[in-house]
Amino acid sequence: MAAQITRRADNWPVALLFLAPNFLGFLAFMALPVIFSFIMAFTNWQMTESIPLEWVGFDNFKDLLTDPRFWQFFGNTAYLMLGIPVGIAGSLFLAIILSQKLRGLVMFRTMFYLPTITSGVALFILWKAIYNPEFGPLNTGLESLFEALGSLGNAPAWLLSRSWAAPLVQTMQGWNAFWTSLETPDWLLSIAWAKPAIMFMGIWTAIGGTNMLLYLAGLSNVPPELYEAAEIDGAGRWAMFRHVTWPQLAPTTFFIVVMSAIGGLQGGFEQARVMTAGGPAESTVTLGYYIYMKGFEEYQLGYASTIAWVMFVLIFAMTLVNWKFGKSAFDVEV
Amino acid sequence: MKRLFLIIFIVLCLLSIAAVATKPKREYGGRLRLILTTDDNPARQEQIAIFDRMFPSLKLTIDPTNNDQSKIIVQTMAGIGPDIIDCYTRQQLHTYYQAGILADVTEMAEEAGVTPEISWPAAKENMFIEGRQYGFVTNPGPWVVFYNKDIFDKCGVPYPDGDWDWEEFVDVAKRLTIKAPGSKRNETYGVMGYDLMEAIWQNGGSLFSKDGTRCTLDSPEAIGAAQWLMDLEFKHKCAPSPSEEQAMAAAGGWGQGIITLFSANRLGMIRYGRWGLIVWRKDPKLRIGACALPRGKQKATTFVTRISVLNKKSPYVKEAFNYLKFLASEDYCNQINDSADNMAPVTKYCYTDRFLHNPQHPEEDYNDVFRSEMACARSVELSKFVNPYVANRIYQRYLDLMRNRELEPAEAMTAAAKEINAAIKEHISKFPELQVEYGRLTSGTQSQAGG
Repeated sequence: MAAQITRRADNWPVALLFLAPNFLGFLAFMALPVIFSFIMAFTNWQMTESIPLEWVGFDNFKDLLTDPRFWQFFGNTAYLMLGIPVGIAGSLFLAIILSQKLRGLVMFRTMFYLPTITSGVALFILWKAIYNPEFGPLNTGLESLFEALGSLGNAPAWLLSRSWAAPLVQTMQGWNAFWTSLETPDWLLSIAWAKPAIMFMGIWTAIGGTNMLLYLAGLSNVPPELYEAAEIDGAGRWAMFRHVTWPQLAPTTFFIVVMSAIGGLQGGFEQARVMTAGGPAESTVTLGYYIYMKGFEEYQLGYASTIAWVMFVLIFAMTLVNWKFGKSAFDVEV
Repeated sequence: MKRLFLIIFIVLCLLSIAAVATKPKREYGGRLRLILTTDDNPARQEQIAIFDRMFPSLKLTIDPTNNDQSKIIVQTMAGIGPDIIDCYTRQQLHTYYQAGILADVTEMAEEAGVTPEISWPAAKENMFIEGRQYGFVTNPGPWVVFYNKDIFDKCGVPYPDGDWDWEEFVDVAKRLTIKAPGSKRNETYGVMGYDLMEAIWQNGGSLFSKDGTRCTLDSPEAIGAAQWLMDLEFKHKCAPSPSEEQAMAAAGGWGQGIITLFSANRLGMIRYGRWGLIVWRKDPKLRIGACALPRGKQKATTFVTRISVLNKKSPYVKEAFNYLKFLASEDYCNQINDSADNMAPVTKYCYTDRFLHNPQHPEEDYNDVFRSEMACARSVELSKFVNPYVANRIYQRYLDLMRNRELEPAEAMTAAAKEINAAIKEHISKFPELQVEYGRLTSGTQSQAGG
C-alpha cells in the first residue's frame, strides 16, 4: 500500500507535464479572456488611441438596459427560441420512429443526422436558395398549391348558366379568388418573414440532430418489461407513451431542454451572418450578433463585453429556473 | 500508455518547433521581405512582379488571410502587423487612424512627390486626415452607367451619350424593361444598382451638413432622391425589387451579383465601375458601352478607390514607403489602366492614347467617360462627430425599411436623420474636445446643408 502511494506521488510531475498543455491552453484561451472580458465590461475600451482606457463602473450596464437595440435583439433571440419546443418534440417523434424495427434503420438514422455533421455555412446557403422568393422550391411549391386549390373553385360551364346555382358559383368564385390572391412570402428579404424563415430552418436542423440521438439512447434504456406490464394492463400506444416512455425519458428531456435553451440564447449568429447579414432592417440580429457588431464593427469592445456578460447572466438565470422547475416538472433527481 | 502520451507530447513539441522554424523570415534571398495585407486577385501577382523588379532589395509578399480589419488592428497593436495595409473604404482609413496604427508619411511623400497634386481631385480626402498624409490611392475611379448594346438594339433604343437627366434616364430604363412572355416576371430590367447616396448628391442633398454636425437626410433634396429611387422599383417597375434581385441572381445560374446578371443579358443598364471590364472582357459576345450617370439638379458620382497605408509600428516604415512610390510609378499606373483594375492613381497616365485606346481591347471606345466623370466624383461623406459604422448601419436599416415598403421615403429619411443625429449627440458625449468643437460650430448660426 505504502509502495503504491509512493509510486503515485512519483507520478505527479509526469501527470502535471501531461496536463500542462491542456491547462495552459485553457488558461490562455478560456480563463484569462473570460476574466479579461469581465474587467473590460466595466471600461470604455474602444481600441482607439484617441479614447484612453477608463474605468466607467456600471455605466455600460446602465446604458445597455436603456439601449432599445439591445431589447430589440433580445426580442429577436427570444422569437427564434420559440422553435425550440417544436424541435424537441420533433426529435422525440423521430427517435420513437427510428427506435422501431424498420428496414434500413441505420441508413435512416444516418440521413437524419447528416445535417448535424454538415458544414453550417453549406446548409445556410442551401436554405437561402430554398427561400429564394421567386425561384426557390418552397415558393414554387406554394404557388402550385395555391393555384391547385384555386382551380377547385372553377365552376363548370353548365353550372354558370343555372340561376339556382348563382350562390354556389359565387362562393366557388370567392374561394378561387382567395387562393389566387395569396402571395408567397419574400422570406429572408421580408422584415415580417425573415425571423420565421430562420426559425423553420433551425427546427429542421434540430429535429434530426443530437437531440434525436440522445432520445434514441434514452429509448434504448427503457426497460422492456415496463411496456410488457403496460400491455398486460391493457394500455394503448398513447397510454404507453404517456405513462412509460415520457417519464422514463424525463432526465433526457430535462438535459435537452436546458442545453437547447442555452444554445438558443447564444445562437443565431452564423445563420444571420450567412443568410441575411442581420437584415432586413436588423430583423434577424440576435444578441450574439450584437456582440459582434459592437465589438468588431463599431470597436466598442467594453460595451460588447458588457453585452456578453449580461447574456451570461440571462443564460445562468434561465438555467437556474429550468433547474428549479424542471426538476419537479420532469421528476428528475439531479 | 505512459509511453504513448510521452510520444504524443514529444511530437507536439517538435511540431511547435517546426512551426516556429518555418515562420516566414524577413530576409528573402538577400532581400527584405515586406508584408502587404490585401486581397489575392489575379492582378496582384503582376503588380508584385513590377514592384520586385523596381526595388531589387525588397521582396513584396501579400497576406490575404489576414486582410480583415479587426485582425489588422489587433495584430498591429500586438506588434506583429503587416508593413503595408490596403484600406477598401474611406471609413476603414479613418478607423485605422483612430486606432493609431497609421504612419504619418507627409514629409516622405512631399520629398518623393507622392502627393495628392499628382492624383485626382477627390483623392486628397482619401489620403489626408487632419492635414496629414497617411497613404496613397491605388486605383481610383468613378461609378458610371454600363449598358448592354444588344438589349438597346432589341428595344430599338439609341445608345445613351451620358448627357441626360433623371427623367430621360427613367424613360430609357422603362423602354428596356421587357416582360417575360407568359410570366409575371420580367425578362430584363432597365436598370439595377443605382445608389441612394449618389441620387441624393445629384438632387443637391447630402448625408451631413458641411460642418458635419448634423445629418441632413431629412432635407427635401434627400427625400426627393429617395422617392425617385423607390419609384424606379415600385412605380416605373424598371428596376428590380429586393426579391426580384435575388430571384434574378439565382436564375442567372452561374454566379450571383449584378456583374453576372449584366453579363447574362438580364439588365439593360447597371451602375458600375471600370473594374467590371475584368469580368466582361472574358465574354467576347457581350457588347457593352459606358456613359455618365444621369444628372438630377447636378452631376455627381462616387469616388471609389483602395488606399494603401503604412503600419506605424512596422520596423521598416521607410522601406515600406517605397510601395507608395511604386503606386505613383508609370509601370504600375499602366498596369492598372491596361488590366482595367479601375484607373491609374496618377492623373497624367490616364491622359494618354494608351488609356483611351487599349490595343488589346479596341472595342472599349468609351474610356474617356471614366476620366471625365472624375471631375464630379465625390468621396463618401464622413462626419468626425459620429462613428461611420454607426451612421452607415442606421442608413442601411432605413433603406431596408423603405425597400420593404414598411416606410415611405419621407418617413424613412426623416427617421434616419433623427437617429443619426442622436448618434452624433451620443458620440460627442464621449469626447470632451469634440464636444467643444461641436458646440463652437453649432452655436449661433445654424449649420448649413452641404452640397
